[in-house]
Amino acid sequence: MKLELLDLSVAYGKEPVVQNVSFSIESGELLTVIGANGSGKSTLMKAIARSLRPLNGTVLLDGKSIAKEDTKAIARKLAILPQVHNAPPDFTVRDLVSYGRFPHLGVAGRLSVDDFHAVDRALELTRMTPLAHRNVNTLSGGERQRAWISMALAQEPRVLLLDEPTTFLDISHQFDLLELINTLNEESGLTIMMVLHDLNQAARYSHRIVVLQDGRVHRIGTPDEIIAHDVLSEVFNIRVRILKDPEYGCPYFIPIRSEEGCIDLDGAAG
Amino acid sequence: MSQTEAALGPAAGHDERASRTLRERTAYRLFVLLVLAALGFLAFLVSISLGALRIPVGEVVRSLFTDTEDITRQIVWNIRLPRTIVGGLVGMSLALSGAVLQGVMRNPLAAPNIIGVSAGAAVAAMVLLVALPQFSFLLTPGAFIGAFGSTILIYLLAWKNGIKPMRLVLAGVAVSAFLGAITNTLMIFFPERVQGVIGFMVGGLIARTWKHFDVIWPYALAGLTLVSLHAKQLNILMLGDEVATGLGLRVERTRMILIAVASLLAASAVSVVGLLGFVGLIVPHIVRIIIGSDYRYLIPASALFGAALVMACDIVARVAFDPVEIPVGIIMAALGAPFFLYLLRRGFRSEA
Repeated sequence: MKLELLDLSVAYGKEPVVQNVSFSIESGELLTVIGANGSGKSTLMKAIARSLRPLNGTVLLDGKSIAKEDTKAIARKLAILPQVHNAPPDFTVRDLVSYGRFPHLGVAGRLSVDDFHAVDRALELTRMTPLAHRNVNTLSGGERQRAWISMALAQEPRVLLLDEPTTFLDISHQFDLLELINTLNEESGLTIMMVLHDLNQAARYSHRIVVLQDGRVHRIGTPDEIIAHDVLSEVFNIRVRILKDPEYGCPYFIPIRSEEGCIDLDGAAG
Repeated sequence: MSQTEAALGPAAGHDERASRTLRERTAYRLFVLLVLAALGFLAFLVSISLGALRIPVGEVVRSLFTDTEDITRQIVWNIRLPRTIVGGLVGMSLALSGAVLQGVMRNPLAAPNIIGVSAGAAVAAMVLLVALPQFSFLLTPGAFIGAFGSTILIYLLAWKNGIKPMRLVLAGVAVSAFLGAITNTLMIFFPERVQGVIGFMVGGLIARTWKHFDVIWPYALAGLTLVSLHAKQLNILMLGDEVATGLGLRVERTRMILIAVASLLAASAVSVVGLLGFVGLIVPHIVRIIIGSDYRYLIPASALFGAALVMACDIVARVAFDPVEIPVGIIMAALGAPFFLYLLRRGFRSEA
């Protein structure tokens, strides 16, 4: 399912944080938004997630404006994992994941057999079935993120938004989570838009990357187009050595000291 | 308080609860509800039985269900029964109000007084009883308007592109302080009349009759129904505004409805018995420790326990220093606060 941003501007009070942003996420695509701190990444996500009302512009989901459609109908197509979330201390993983069915429930609010199947499937996809009876707050950081993704999957969405899903996780859990996200995209055909801090991770897993700078789209392109000397020096003010992974074929870089100068080993920047 | 302590029996296994299966957990919660209902019924009967004239429980039941005209029946129907029912409804309303506000604000200190209910009712009572005593017959509607009005004021002052719970709490504190200043000023100007409002300021059930029942029951019933219908929404609000929005909940609208309902519940209770604030704070906490934070169970449990607690405390208020009656608000704070602290320490230990 396609997600389009048309001339989107978002402000906190009078201060515009996101300005005239337009791009679209194609059906089945995994797109990552990167940018320096304060570049408007999370604000942009919040506007798409309906938590912030845009100053102007529209977000189209499957061709229809999310500002006009019924919010429950949108929740059946678009799921969100925000940065800030909390579960009451005695909620189990299954309790939490069950709430993913909220947009599907009727007036009576009771879970049907279909709902229970959807919850089981969501637990299965995130490998949380063995932990379903555990209290969410007793899980490790990585397991907790998987539980919340499981809740989002129980919505049976076509598009998933993830705002810095790997923050606060150690490297093994980051890897585990990104692999999960990748699998959901490749095997379930879920359209995914996420914000990441780590550019190498973005380059490894994304089809395309959007670079935000001062609330505007600086550049949008494939990992090879984004992991480039000009982009990284303009946006992040770093000099880098760019390499290419021999197996996955994705570019990656390491920052280098500025006095060493900019060494381009093999022109992988394209 | 021995009845209320009995409710803790099942909570002994509280720390193992995480490992119980879903079925066992549901059975446990239903059992707790049953115990609370039994406690409420017990408090109800004992409250009618005890007082200046002691009526055996058997006699109470007989008077309730038969219509032989005698003095016992007069006392039961005209004095004890309305007072007990009003006490129960007040306890239920305040407990529900507190449970809802704690969920909506995601703040454990939220209680009816945080949205100005107590301060608003106090100003109205002070004006009507102290400054303009010729209008003291308007106390109940006046206190109601004062309580609900100050919630609306706080809500409007806190509004800025939507309501942030923290801003609402802070606006509530500020407005309450301001209204408190008015209350205290009036006290200083009319020191000789202050005696008359003490009963209202601490909250009491002395001489509460069917007239008061008529005031509170529509709000109690409508409030209970509306809150029950929003149990799922309250659970989802606890997950955070952004998650709730993502799940298709209209957060702003739901929050406004629930704050209005909580305010109406508390305002109707306070207008009838005075500032009985503590119930709204502690009952939801006690119940949460026993039954968990799932609002589908927290709502009925708070309603039952709130009703039972106020009825039980009113028994103590009448009997403890007989023939002097103490306002139930004092008993509530004197017994409730230590009991609450005890539970709090226990609860923290088993959650750690």
